Amino acid sequence: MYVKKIPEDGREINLLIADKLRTKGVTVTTGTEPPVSNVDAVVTYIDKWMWDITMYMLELTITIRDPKTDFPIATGNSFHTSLTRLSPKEMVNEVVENIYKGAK
Amino acid sequence: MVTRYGGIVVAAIVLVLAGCASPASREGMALQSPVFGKQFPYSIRVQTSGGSETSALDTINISDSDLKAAIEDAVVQSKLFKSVVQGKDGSDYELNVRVIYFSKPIFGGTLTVEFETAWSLIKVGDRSVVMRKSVKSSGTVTMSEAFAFVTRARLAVEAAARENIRQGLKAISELDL
Repeated sequence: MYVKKIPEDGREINLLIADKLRTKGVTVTTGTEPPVSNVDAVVTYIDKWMWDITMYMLELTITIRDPKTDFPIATGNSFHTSLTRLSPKEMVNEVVENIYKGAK
Repeated sequence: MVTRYGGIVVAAIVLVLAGCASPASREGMALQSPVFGKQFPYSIRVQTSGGSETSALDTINISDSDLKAAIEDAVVQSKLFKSVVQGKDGSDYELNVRVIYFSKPIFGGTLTVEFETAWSLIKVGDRSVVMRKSVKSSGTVTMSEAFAFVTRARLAVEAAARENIRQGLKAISELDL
């Protein structure tokens, strides 16, 4: 898989996603460039942040796509307001686990 | 004391203006007089997934049933397919629309909602996939169009959904079925 980094993402959420997918036994590369042609899937994400005393990740959506057509094969979402906030790593874990649960 | 009561009044006004989240409605997502320039002599069954209901304390959502109804309305009005079939049997084609993402507005003046769905059209006879497409759209609503935030947010979501439905059905109309 190839995790396509959002160029403006200074928090490097792409690395967290890549690390989590590696724990699932997937070979993962990541970067801002277009994916190489031999990947089986491209992973995109959208992270939304809010301020409440400190910045926290409000919402994370991860989508696994067909590299040729961009068609979403699987998607997962996590939405936590300040009271139930999770760290970015925990958000990534939650979303990826949800995607894998949905695939079974 | 005055300051404290003032704060409570301001908070109450904000709550009244903000109100409770209301879901995107079937009527709001309906296309007005849709025309796609093609009429297929087949029946179609529409299924939607990935949406969710909106509770009073939740942010705005799109329900599967409302999205399905809006798509079906557009199909019927445009006569893109001969008929829309409910239930599992009896349709020539099956359209699956899955909500992938939409940006839920939290605050702001002019609201823009990004919306993505995955459309797949299956020929029931041989279960072949005749179209798989990611459809991305957006909807923008300004404060001059609606002052209350919840109304503005709902209108922006509905505008994005309308454009999404229009694009999705337009893509189907360009197929040779």
